[in-house]
Amino acid sequence: MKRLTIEDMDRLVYLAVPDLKHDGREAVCTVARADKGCNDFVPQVRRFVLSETGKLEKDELVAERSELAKYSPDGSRLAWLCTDSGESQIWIRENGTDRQLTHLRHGVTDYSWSPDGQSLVWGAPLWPEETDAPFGEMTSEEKRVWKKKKDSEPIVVEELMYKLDEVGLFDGSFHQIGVTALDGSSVLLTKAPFEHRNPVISPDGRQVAYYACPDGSIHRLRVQIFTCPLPESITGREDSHKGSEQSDSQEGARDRYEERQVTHEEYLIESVPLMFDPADAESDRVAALMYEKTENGFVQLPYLFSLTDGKKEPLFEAACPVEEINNLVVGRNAVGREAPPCVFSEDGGTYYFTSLWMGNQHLYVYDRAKKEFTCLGTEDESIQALSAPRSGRMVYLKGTLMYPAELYWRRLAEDAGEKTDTKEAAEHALTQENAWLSEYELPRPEKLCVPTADQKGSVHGWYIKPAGLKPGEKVPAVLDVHGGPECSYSTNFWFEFQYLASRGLAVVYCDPRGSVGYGSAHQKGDCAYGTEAQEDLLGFLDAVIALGFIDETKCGVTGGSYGGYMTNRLISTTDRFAAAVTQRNLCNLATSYGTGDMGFVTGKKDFTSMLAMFKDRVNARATTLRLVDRVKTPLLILHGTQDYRCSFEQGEQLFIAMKERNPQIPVRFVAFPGENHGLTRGGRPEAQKGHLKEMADWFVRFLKEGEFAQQGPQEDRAEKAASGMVPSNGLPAAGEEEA
Amino acid sequence: MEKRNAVIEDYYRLHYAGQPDYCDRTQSLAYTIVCGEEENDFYRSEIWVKRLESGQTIRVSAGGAYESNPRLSPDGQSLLFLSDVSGTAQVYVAQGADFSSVCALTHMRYDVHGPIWSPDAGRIAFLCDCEPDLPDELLMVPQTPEEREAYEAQKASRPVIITDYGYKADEDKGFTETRTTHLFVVNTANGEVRKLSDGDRDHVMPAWSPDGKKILVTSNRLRPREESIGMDLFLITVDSGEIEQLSKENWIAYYPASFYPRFTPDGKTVVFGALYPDVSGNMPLTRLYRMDAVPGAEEVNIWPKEAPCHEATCFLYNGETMARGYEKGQVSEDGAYLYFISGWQGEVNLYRAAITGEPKIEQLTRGHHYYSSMGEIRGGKMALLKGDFTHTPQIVLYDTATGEETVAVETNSWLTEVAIEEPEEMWIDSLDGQGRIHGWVLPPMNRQSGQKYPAVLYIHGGPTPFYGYGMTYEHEALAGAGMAVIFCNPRGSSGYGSAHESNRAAFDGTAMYDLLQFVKEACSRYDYIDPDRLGVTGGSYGGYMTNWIVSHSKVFKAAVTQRSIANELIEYASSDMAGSSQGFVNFQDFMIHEIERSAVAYADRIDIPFLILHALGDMRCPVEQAHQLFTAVKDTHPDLPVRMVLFPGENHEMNNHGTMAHRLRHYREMIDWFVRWL
Repeated sequence: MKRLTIEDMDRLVYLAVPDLKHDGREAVCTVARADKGCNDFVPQVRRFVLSETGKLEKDELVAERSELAKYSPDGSRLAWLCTDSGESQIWIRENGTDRQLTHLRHGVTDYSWSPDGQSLVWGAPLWPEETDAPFGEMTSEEKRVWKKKKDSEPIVVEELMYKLDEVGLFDGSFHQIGVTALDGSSVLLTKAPFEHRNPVISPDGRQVAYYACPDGSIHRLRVQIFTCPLPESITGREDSHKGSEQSDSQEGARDRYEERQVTHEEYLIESVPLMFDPADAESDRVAALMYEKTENGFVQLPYLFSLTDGKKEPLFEAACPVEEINNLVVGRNAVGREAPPCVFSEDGGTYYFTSLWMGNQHLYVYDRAKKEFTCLGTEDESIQALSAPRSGRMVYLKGTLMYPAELYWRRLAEDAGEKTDTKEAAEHALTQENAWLSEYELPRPEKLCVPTADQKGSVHGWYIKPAGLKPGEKVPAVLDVHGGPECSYSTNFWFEFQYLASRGLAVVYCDPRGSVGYGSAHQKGDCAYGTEAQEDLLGFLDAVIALGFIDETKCGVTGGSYGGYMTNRLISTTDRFAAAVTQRNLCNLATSYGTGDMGFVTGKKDFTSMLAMFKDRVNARATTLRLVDRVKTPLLILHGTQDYRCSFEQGEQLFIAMKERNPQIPVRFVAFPGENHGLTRGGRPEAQKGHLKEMADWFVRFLKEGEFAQQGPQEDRAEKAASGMVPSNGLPAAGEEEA
Repeated sequence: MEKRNAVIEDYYRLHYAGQPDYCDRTQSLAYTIVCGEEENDFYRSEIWVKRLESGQTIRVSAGGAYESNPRLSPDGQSLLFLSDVSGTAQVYVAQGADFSSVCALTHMRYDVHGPIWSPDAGRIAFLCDCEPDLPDELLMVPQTPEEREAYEAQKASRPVIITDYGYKADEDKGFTETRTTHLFVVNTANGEVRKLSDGDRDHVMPAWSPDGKKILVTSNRLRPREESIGMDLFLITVDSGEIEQLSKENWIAYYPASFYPRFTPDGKTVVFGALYPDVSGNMPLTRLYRMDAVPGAEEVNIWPKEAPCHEATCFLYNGETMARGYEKGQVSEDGAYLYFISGWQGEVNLYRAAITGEPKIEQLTRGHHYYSSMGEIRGGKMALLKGDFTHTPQIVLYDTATGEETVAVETNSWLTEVAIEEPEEMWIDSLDGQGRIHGWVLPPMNRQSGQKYPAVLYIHGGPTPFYGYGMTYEHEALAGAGMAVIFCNPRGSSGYGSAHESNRAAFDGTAMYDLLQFVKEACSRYDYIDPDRLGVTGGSYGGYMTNWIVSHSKVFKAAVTQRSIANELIEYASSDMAGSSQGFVNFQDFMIHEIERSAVAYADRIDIPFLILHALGDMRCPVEQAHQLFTAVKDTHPDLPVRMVLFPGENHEMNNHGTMAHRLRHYREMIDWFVRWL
């Protein structure tokens, strides 16, 4: 059996956004791989022809450099986005031939079919000065000149929220909504200088509903539902635009498509597209996910909104057994796009969703008439990215502990006529893209549930024994803390952990207080930054150590973002770790304010003065930098230079402070040029590999090879204190909680 | 005849003379002319040779757009220069009548800088960047543009490993892990190139020994990285490549102001500038030393107890110039004197120090002007630049025997059509009674008597540099837009003695009161200034002070902060000049202390229209400063006009070396802001 190497990371295959044809006899899916040549992940669209019982009859390539394929409602056509023309444009397959349908100046970001299958609505990025001539792609030479000019143009900022980690600095463009008929005629429906995303056409074909951010900034925190009337028939209209050479310049036409804001909500969730309720004959109600405030914090639940008056009602008329529709799995295979975690059945009578619960992500069914929930799930699975149900069938992605997500086919229970005898037959895999992993010696993660120290709950988690562990042998271990903290590890294959295990390290990971998917009491209040989360993590680690295969003097700790904060916290309040790797960490709230993309004081009742706020931020729990004098653990700092969530200067401060205050403690800082906060998920393949290799090398060096351990951090510290280099007073004892 | 007002677009007409090199044997002067070209948004730098007897000027070119560093060979028959015609700056040699025969001498992978002739003109020493993992043989092979692009893209995605201080630097360098500057020589006969230094540290400021056997070079190769500005002298034997440390005691002056070490003509002595500790907290002074050119020889301070100047360098903040890397010291041909430039009370003059005998310094020139860019002394004459409040720098020939000066190259004669005036000079007594503040007021152009105009306080950066007698076209453009410009040298500025230069006073409020007092006095002395329409701006330290002054006073009605420091904690780690928490027992106390002295902690008091200008690639005052400052001001004043303009691809030196389009946009943003709100 082979051991994983860092290069094997390039062999991982990532699936995304499946769709099922109307008759359930064909599915499509985005399949992405790392490409060494361009140092990026390249997606392709694949098509799977299925038998009546969902057996795979044919698996073929539809298009390279393509993603987000969707069947027209009647199944006669297939659309997808392809970058072959230089921009991401909608392409269509009909009667066996493929053609490029749209020619937006900067391409299309998202789209959906009209219910009659005769047109598609899309969202496309455009600069305000381009909305009068949005059609027609630039030649590569024109684009080069345009890009050079754009890249050198100063960035003007006049509003807050001008940057977002995933997007970078606001470049002045906004997504606008438009529609294109099958003959290529196109109309741009919106023009207002703010973001418009994820358009869907109503079942009666009269209007488009979408999300927009009317305050003009790029932030998505306060999106609203908008609607805009649709030309009665796109094809054959006088004011619609034929071909792609001219623009829609008829001024009079514009008024008829005036957009209208429907909602004035605070907590709509933009990442899940709107869905028209098929059960609503008036074509007036759309379903959207929204945060709802509860006594323990926020939960995500679906609501129905009337497009006429913006009135809302909860979609669930009974208490949801898993509290909410939660999708916040940390570090999931994020290449490509995320498909919605919830869909209606064709008649609207049933609402399917996936949600995290106790480490699994199951498929749930809500029967709207009976007001009943059913869970369709087995242990150790993680169902993501649901297709719309078609003819009583559904496809989705499902990950397990041993394999990244593959495409699965499922017969839905409601299809009563076809009930089968055995449970197994209800679901099976269509792809085995990552079957190559079976050649490798991969230890299976084992589950553990540990009561919390304060007896208020329990902590769920996993541990992985290193490959080739001999009976009685004790090995070093790495505690891995997830980010968020409003995230969760789930039943999934973690290449990072398996790679660490292949280097002879045990891996311990769990969902301490503050994690989602264990009920709102588990994430209540400030426990993620209080003592609870820290004690949960250490308690879980102790419980795994008690199993007897870990050398407790050789434990390391790592984590990203919030996990980086927790790593910093653990090494500045305890001495039990022999090595640490802090990834994209937050260490100083006094400098993260305004440099990251989160957090403002506007309207805060407790705001007294900037100076008071900054001092509070220095003294905050999350500001672990204030405790840097106490760090005795060899520390590796990994950070992307373009991180706008936990800005790069956070990593720099921790490094310089370590160098200056603890010159005896090994510290290393690795910067990843051009990478943002999503480095370990959506970062370039070489950066992801470099990141993991740095981490593994650091742990091997200090946990396995024992470097630095001999001299003993404790003695070293005492020596320094004696020599006057480090204060022996003025510091609270390790482990003592701060005010 | 009525003169017109200055406008920002005039920048495209400004021609900057620079890098003069005089040869007495052929009575020739080589120099560069730099100008911004609007159409392609780049600077064109041309090389010219002037025959001083006939007045004839000859353009020398290898066909590049940016050609610089002209150096006439000792016999005056050859001219070496750098040209970017191949895509990188490489050494070219021009020969023959009118220097019309030009050939490429080097084909290095990266830009070459600072080439100099060996005394017999048989070799040329130059500097070139190297990369740690790149084999030497690849260094000497040029890349095609495609190769360069692919290599840069690959490198741009490579993780940067940082294990020590000093991992980044402003001024185009970025993460310094990637590049180190090394010394090379090329044989002018056959083009053979040899690398003479090694390691992962920089080697800079080369000088040939008069016998051509050794090269004197400055490097930090034996210093820990914390001593980022600690440099020593080394001697490299050219034939054997042997390298030996020459100086040990002093920090050779390279940063913040380079002073090129020199041999005396007999080759027995080396003279150099080194950093001399000033009273606590101040920027070290550049003082002069000599030593025998023998390792371990005594380093003798040749600065007298009583000197007519304060240090052997000057930090003139203004004066329009585009010349990079100009030199600040030359040795006379008899080896008796070291000529240098120093500033005092706004003037920048020529001085000379006796190299041997009793330490002695003489001041050679006086007046409301400034000098820079000293060429080598040949036949008793030295070419250098000279400018003043109403003239951009001209090239003059200075006769070291008689002290006479003749203008050799004039530029920008069209400026006579612009209503450029001499600013009004002012001295005031400081409020604390411990200093006198020197400065100027530039009146609005073509002003009507009896009418009142807005005024802008323009605070210089540093805080060590000073405003002197040099033209600043940005000020002229402000005056051209109908505003007076108030500029002065508050506490913290150099050129007025150590007490005045106090770094502490620059940050503890003293300088702020100096500035406010100066503005108040200007308003009362000049009735054309409307005290209700005052604005304030400045860059770097001037940006810090702009932030501080508008959050601690109610004098100004609009502000423009440029490349500013807002939060000292960000500056602590993210600037290429890392800060220090020394003296604090507890790091948390240090953090609170830094926050209390950070202007951003008082941003809730900034209630006037506020414009922030910053370069995205700034590593001196990192752009995070701007991000946080913008957020803090806008967050606490949602309805206040607050604007931030970020310049891509630029660094802290944008206003000196940025693209012309960016510089002009920067000036225009500032002027428009004041016009709009004042």
